[in-house]
Amino acid sequence: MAYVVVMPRMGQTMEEGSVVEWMKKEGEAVSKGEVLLTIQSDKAELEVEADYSGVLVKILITPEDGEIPCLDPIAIMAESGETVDADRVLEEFLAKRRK
Amino acid sequence: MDAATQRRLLETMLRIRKAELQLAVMYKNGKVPCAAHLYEGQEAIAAGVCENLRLDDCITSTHRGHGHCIAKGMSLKEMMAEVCGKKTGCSAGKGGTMHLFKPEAGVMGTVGIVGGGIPLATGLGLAMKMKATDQVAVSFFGDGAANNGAFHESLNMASLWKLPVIYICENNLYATSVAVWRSTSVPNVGVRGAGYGMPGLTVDGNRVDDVYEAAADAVARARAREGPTLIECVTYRIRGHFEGEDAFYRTKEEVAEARKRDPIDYWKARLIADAAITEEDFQAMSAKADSEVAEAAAFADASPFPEPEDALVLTAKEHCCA
Repeated sequence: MAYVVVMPRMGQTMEEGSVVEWMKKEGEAVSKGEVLLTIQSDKAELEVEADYSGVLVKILITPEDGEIPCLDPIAIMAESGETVDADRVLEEFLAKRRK
Repeated sequence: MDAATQRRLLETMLRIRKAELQLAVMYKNGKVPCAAHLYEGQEAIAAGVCENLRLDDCITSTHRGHGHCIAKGMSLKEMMAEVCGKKTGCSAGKGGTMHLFKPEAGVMGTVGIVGGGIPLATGLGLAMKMKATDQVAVSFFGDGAANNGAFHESLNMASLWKLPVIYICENNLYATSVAVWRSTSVPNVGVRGAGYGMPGLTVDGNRVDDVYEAAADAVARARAREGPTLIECVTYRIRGHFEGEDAFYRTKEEVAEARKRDPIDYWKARLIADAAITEEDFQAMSAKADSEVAEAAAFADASPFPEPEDALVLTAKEHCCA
């Protein structure tokens, strides 16, 4: 099932983070545990691993976007072979969060 | 060791591993409201020691304590719900990862203060001796705690009074960011037993059979009221000290090397080689653990946070003055 990757909260004092570099491109297959991107937290530059295997469907936040709040969406992932409407996945995620 | 025990050890390690990896994902996604210190790679110690314990035996644990709680019999649901700060957790959502308590299962607390569980287990041992029961107490603690004053005071007193306590030092080579060789006067914490007049052993903490056998002897000794034992289990902390830590003080190569000594891989290979299980059995065990963990995670996620009036439940008054 498609899911939203969020800016991870990597530590109790981290409120915002920024994308340093995407290690995977849109459309690229990713295995669980592989490094998806690197982020800058309030303390350090950290690698973020994929929680599940699949395909990186869409990148929402790039280094140019600067700091964004923790837990805000940064990408959409899907299972390999799954057809997804990235906008709808994101919309559903945001609607669920507003509740 | 009988076949049922061999399998249980593997099942316990799998449940701990999968629960920890699930919590790592939940932590990143903002579901864990406080710090998370995960136990990946050290599962053989909790599993091997607790397999020797009865429900009425007691343990005290550390900031890295989820594995001990699972191995001692706390359900995945109440552990994960508590770690997520939910009302359905073992401490009603008021404690979190470093206050996991389940007295009914002998889990007398994960303690955030380094070395804090050592005197607590010693006190439990004293109570058991004074009440003339045949229970035992186990204290799990790290290599950093072994350089703490509470360690010295507790081991001295326990040996002097022949208390039924087993001291399990999980030497994972790092106290937060400090390598054990930078902070510890002896190459192996196990040798310190001699200084207190108690047996002191060092075993491979990634080999669940070695841990199990060493703990079996120590538990038998404690039950017979022959005194305490110190067992150092040498292992490796695979993840950072806490989730989100940049482990700048060690190399990726070192971690990759340590991963080759995975305790689950070791035990699985042993059991397959001994024809105790097949690859299919292992896959079935793994799938069962996956579904148990998924169910517990969903339960934790769906559970409510505590209400203000919940401040008045699980109080000392309620427990001790009833």
